[in-house]
Amino acid sequence: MDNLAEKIVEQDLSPVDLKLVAEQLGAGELLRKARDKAGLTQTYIARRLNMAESAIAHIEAENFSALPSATFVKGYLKNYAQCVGVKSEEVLAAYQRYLDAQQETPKLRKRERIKAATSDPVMRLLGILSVLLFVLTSVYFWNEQQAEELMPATEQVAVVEAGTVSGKTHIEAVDLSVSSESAKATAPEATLLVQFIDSSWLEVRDADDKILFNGVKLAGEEVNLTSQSFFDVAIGNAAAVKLSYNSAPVDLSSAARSGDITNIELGLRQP
Amino acid sequence: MSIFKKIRGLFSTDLSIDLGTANTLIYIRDQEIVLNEPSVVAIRQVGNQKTVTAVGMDAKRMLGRTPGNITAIRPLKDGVIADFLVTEKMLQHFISKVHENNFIKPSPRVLICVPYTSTQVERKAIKESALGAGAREVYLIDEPMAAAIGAGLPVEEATGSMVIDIGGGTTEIAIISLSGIVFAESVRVGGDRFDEAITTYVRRNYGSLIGEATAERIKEEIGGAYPSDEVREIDVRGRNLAEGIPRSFVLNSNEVLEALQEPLSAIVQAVKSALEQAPPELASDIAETGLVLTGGGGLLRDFDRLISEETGLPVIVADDPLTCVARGGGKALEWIDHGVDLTSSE
Repeated sequence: MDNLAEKIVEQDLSPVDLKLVAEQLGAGELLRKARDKAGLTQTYIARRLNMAESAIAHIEAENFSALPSATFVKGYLKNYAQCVGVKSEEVLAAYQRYLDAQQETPKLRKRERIKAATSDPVMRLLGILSVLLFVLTSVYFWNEQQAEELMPATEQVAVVEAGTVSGKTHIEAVDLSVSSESAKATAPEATLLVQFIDSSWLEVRDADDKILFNGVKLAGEEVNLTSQSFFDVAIGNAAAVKLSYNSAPVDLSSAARSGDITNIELGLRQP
Repeated sequence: MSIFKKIRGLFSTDLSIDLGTANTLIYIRDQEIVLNEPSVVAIRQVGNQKTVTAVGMDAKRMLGRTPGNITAIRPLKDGVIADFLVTEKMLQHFISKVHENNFIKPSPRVLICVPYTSTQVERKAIKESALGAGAREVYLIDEPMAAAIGAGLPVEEATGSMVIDIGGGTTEIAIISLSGIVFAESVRVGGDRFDEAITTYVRRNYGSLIGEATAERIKEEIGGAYPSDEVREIDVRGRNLAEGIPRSFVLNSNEVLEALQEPLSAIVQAVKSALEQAPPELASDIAETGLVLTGGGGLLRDFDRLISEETGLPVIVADDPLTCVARGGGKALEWIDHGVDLTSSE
């Protein structure tokens, strides 16, 4: 140790020595050795730096907590080093090690807090962009959904008013409410009678989408079907067909138009 | 505030600017000093039209070497704006220089340090020129406050700290306690005055004329504020006034010390008068901890020693004194976001 301190004072250090110094000597010890070497007293140093003698003693004893904040201590060490002719970098490095050792935990906590409080501008920008993207996509999908809900409804109204323009007509069994209600009341069974005035293609499905009838019938023939109150009827030539649901005639005149497929749902779709 | 400025603000970073007479420093928040250039602008005049040819380092090299149609000027004098339009151009140049992407015109929040004694008109001028240079918001902070923060003094504590910030144009002396300036004094003596003093000395004693750049070089290399055992020398070339031809001569550090006596004593006097007017409690705090030197003047050899001898108090030089003010401004900018406002009103 003494040997090293002498080398520092004489500024005759190899890199290996420097490393040793960095690991072993404290700032105060370094300065005290240098002062002894120069043959100076604490009183002289104190007077030279205009500091209290006790402050010099604290520095040499490395009792830094008795001194003002680190900023000032660094300044004092620098001045002291200059006064006794030691390189101030080495003394400051030693002091920095002391600081690191002292404040390891609070320093870490502080750094974390700062990290959380302030962020990289790039990250901030990315965050803003992603939020914007999210908002835009949700607005887009919401609009899509609205359109999907609106489209069939408008089509239906238009079709009922103007007849089978698109070829697919949905007629809610509104005018059949009496009969469907009676059907519900009597039994789950419902009957459908289709009488053919002219030849036509016909397909009938039940509530489970099961095909009850599919085929072409000629004039004068008729089809009688039974299901659980619901029929989905597709007729090739509605003008050539007479429908009876639970023995009540179904009015097809508004929907029927030759050359188009007419779709009619009869009864309530129940499970 | 226009929406465009807000959007551009997203692509800009907060800046702290030390708009000094000699050098302008820019500190980017959470980063380092990103720009440190002389506050010099070179302007070319063609007919009645003036255009900026160079700013900063390039312009400084032109100082005193320009042909007739180019003038290299320092738009700031004594820490305040002397030429409004040129200052605006210079700020614009520096702000765009520290923003790497030139795609979107930057519009940062800017904090600028102003001398404590600057008038309302001078502060307004600085604010306006920063706004004109594209800043989104401008905050002003008193220079000694920024210097104290940058030096790492405990400004928010109930202890007195004294800071001496020696800039290019002004020296600001302030006593700070509880995040406020208790007493401050500003003398219009700074690094520039040192250069002038050296020029005058050389003219008087050697009959030779030297330029600003040479004077600054002399000050940096052999200048000192306190007599030292070691005498350093420098070769200087200047135009001999009597013969009219360039002559070379040797200056030594003792001569420079003699030349600097007048501005140095002006600063020492200001420090002493500040100490005289300090409230007793704070004076005792200062006597215990000592004074802190910041600013480029703190780099003058043995300046701390001189003040220490004159006042009988410990004097320390802050770490990296040249950038203290800019760094302190950056910290103050961070504190604004955390609700601690140390900025001064207009």
